[in-house]
Amino acid sequence: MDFKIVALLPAHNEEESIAATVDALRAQTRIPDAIIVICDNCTDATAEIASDHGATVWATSGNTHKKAGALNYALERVLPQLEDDDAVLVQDADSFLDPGFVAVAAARLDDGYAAVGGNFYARPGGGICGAFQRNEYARYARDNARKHGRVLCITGVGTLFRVSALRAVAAAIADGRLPDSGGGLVYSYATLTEDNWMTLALKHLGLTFVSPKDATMSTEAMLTWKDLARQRLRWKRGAFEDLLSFGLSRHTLKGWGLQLISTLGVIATLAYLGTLVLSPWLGFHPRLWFLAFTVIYAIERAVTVRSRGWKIQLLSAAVFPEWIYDLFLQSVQVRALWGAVWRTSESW
Amino acid sequence: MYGKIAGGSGLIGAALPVTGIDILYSLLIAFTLIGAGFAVTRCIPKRHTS
Repeated sequence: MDFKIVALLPAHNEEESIAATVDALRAQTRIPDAIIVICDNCTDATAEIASDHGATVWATSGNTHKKAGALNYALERVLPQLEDDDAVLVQDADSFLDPGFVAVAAARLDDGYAAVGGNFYARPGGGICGAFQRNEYARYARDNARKHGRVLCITGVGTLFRVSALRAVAAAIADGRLPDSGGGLVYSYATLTEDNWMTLALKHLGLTFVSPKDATMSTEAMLTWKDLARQRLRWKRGAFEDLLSFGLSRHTLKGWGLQLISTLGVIATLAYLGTLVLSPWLGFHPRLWFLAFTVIYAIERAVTVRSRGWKIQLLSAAVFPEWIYDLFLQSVQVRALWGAVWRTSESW
Repeated sequence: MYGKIAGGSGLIGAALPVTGIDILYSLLIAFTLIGAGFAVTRCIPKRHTS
């Protein structure tokens, strides 16, 4: 683990969270050798607060590519100073790493992985909307742990990259082995989800990554349904467009499979709701034995949020509230697919 | 093969092919069964290592 680690935190008006974010980095059991906050078109006190808490502060100039642009701005300056074996930690400015994150991630880099992502949980806030997200993230972390950290996407919330991997991506963009990055040096400008694009890029280059269960961090939950819809619309549309961009290959097969399953899920929901609506005409024939399936789903809902405590487990076992949440997410997915197919323009 | 759905007596029921509705119900049941299978799998304890 004897290599240099540079933390890059792209930030756009993050004065409320940047102090805690930098403090969490400085409280790591393996403290990064440099903490650089990249102020991207900030109009608040992010830079001053970050500096006061010991971070180096850089500011982008005329960047129109948001997070990816800020990261490329910093990587262009940082990568020439680093050795191939060194590491770059890319994390959101509103994410707080748990104290062991960097040490755990660095150890996994030593195991030969090109990148090590984390498992995130959502902080309090957002009422029922936030509670649903916390359940969702808890299940995601549980699934990741059960899959031994073999995730589909290394998270933009916080990931430690080997410098050689970032250089390999930059080289592959430059010589056309990866899809057009829209001018991006390492992070693509031609995507809505730069972490997903980066994941696919690493895969296509034969580089491996993992998200160990002990590499944990917290992130902000979306506080309103409107914000959540906007976030998920971007995620879902970005994931779909990235798959289109990378095409069908063994590296994208699982991603396409998940898209297919989730689309079938939407169709099944529509069909189910349709039969309910039409039941006065079609007839309503409840089957008692079918209730057994509801019991199975109720148990599954409760078991998979065990980490959230028994009260949440009981609420989840009711099934119906989380089904409404799923309907909400499915409606966003339909909108995302519609937007991707018809290439509608959205402002993010 | 057009006929009324058992228990249905309205216009829509009369207009829909029985086979189409049967296929729809079958697909829904199949989806439920597959989903239940996944649900059971997710409940099985597994050693969490990574």
